[in-house]
Amino acid sequence: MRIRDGNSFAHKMTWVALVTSAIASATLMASFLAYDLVSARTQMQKHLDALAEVVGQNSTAALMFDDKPAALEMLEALRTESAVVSACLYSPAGNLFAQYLRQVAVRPCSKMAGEWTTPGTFDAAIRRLERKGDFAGTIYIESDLTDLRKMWFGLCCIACGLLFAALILSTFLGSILQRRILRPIDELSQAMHVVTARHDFSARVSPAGEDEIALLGRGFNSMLGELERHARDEAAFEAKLQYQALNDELTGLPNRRLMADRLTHALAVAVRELNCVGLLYIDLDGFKLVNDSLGHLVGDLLLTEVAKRLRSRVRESDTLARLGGDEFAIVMGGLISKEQPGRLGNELLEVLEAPFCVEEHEIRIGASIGISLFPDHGVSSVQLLQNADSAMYAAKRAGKNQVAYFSQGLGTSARERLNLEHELRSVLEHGGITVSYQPEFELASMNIVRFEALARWNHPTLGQIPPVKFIPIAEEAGLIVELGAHILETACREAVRWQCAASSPIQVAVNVSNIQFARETFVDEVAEVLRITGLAPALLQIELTESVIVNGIEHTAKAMNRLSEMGVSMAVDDFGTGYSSLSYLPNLPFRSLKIDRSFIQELEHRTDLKNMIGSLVMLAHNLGMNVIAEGVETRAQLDLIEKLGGNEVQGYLLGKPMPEPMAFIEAHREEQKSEVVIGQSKSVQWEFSENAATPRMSVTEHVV
Amino acid sequence: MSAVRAHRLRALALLVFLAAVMFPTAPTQERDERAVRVAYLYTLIKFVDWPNPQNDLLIGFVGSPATGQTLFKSLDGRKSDARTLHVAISPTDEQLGKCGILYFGDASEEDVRKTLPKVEGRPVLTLGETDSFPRRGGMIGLVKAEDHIEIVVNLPLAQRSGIKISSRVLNLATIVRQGGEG
Repeated sequence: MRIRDGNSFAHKMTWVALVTSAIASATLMASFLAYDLVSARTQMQKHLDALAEVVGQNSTAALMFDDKPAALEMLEALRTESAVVSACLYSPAGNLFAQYLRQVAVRPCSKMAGEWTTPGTFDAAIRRLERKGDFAGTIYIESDLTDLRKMWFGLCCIACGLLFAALILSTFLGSILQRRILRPIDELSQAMHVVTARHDFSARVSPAGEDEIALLGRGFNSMLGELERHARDEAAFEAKLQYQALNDELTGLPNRRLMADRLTHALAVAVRELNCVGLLYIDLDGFKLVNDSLGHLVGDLLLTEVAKRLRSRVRESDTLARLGGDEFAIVMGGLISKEQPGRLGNELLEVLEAPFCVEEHEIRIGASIGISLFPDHGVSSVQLLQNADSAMYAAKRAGKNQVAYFSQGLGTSARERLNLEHELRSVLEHGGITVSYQPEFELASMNIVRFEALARWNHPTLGQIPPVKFIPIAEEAGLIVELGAHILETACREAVRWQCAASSPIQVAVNVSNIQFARETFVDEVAEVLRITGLAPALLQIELTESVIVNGIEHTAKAMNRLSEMGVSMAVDDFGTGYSSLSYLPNLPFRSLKIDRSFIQELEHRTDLKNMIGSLVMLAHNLGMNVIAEGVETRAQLDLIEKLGGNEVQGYLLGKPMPEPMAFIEAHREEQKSEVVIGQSKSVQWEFSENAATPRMSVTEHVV
Repeated sequence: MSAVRAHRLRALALLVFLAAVMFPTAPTQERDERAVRVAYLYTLIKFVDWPNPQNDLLIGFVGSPATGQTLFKSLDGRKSDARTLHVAISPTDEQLGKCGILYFGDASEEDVRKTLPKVEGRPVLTLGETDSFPRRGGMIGLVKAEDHIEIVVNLPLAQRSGIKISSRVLNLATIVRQGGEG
């Protein structure tokens, strides 16, 4: 990339030097020549004046004594002056007295003084001659400037030649000097070439001296040094990033990405060699507790120690990775037997058994290990990971600190449930679970008799999660007690508010989980809530499922009796879906049966169901229990239930769950009042809208 | 030198004409010659320096009254270079003592011989009209030669008396030594 064409710096510099020196020299020479010409003319003029003076003075006597030969003799002396071509003496009267002509060809003097005409190439001096105040005559001397000009032109030619020679010399010398000056620049450009072409920042120049180029060279060197350092740093940083992208910073183990890569690779190898791959998913038990109680530092150190112990048992060919948090995974390739991963899992549990000593804390920690196998449990790395995860979750559910192989029955939603559990926990802490209330009506009077309290979870990303989905999770996670208590208290507090707005007392129905009910303290807790909220026990209905019997009939009966004694009423929820044994019913103080919505929805089209519900109503009535129909959505269903002898109804036809039932209650009361005023209480015509949250009476409309 | 002389002669015509203009009262050839001599004298004054210059310059005249008259008429009272000229014809001894110039015009040998010694050694410019005058104790002779007046100077004598004659005149003149030949 060396620059050697007309654009080169050296070329430009040569031109600059040449043009500059040419202009300078030319100007100098022109001034000199002009000065020379002017001064030569001035000199000539002065000389002529002097000649005129001398010759004139010497000719004065000759003029005055009329001595022409003497005058001619005087003039003749001018022959030594080569420039003087003619000289003329004039008498005081102005007549030509004597003349000197250098050559015959020379223009003669004018006859009279004052009639001189001096051509451009001539110079002349005129002198008045006097002697002691008397005018003696005039002398006129003429000189030819041709010689002077010739000489001057000669000088010009010499000057031009000199100028030319000087320029050639200066070009030559300039190029030599430039080469010396430009060498560092050339060096710079070569170094630059090395840098740009090979990206080699180690190139350096060797600047000498203290001039600008040397400074530039030093600057260049330091810039390259900086760049070199920067490039080195960048490379190191990239390597670090690369490492961080694939490795866990804390333990130095491969991370999830690298593990996934190794797994994929192992799967490819397994496909080729027709053998198995095992994936172990390890989750530490109780790590959160360590982290929360002893701090993250201890948690991190513990993880490092755990990683060390795990690594001690893992074959060199297998990959131990940290997936994040307290989760690890091991990829075992080239398996001979399917028991190998299980054996390793148990070995790992053993190795973790011994207590860890971290920062003077003795920590015991276990692990739940899930195993999935290729090709038995999946053919893709994603599938295997998911399944190992599910297996690990199963191991945790089965009592922790154990190893579990994946089986199809585990399902794939284990992780989702686990996530929901975590979220539910935090949502409960922050009061994210709200309660909605769905009205229940007495069929005979169409009065609101009760609101059922329903838990609501508005998840930020999943939207409304139905209780059917999160209640079991809460039960499994041991959160149901807390959740139940929260709902119970909230509902009771709300119910107290209703009473003053309603024309007749309104109950609140609260669903209680078996787990909740199984607690020895449950009845006391209910009593405490009633006391705190000030709700009359008669206004609380506790709804239990048939499976409450699993807690043991004795305990159940005892608790229910106590509640009954307090005045709290109880209902069987979702009747017909659970325990099919009716034998327990007479022994327990249930006040109502709630027929499951699934029956009601099929009611219209199935005669057998109609008969069954009819029998059920009779049975209930015989046992002294009310029948409540859930999930009533159409007018036909309502009519049928009334015909079959149902006592109370609940469903979207009559009212959807609502967060603030006060307005509903007040509206309903107003309707009842107007009904009373016009005395048509028995012939109320309800207008039902399939979508309306509030049923409206046609009577009311007439009044309005 | 003779060629130069020839030129000089030719110039005489002009000089005569000039003299005629300056001295219109000289009708004859003789008178013209006298007038030219007077004009020469007048011009000569400008080329001569006296050791004791005064405001008035007295010219003493010894010789024929006609020439004296011409001289008197032409020069008495005239100014030359800020000096006033006076002419004393046949000056007395006292006048001789004041003379700066003593002109012998057409004077007899005897007059010359008698008068010259009276001014000898003093800065008095003595002029005569003959070729022999400078050789016999006079300083300058305005000698008629062919058609013009020739100036003959006895230079040592003039120098001895302290009178300086301009070299420009000397260039035109014939120089003689006292007692020597012309």
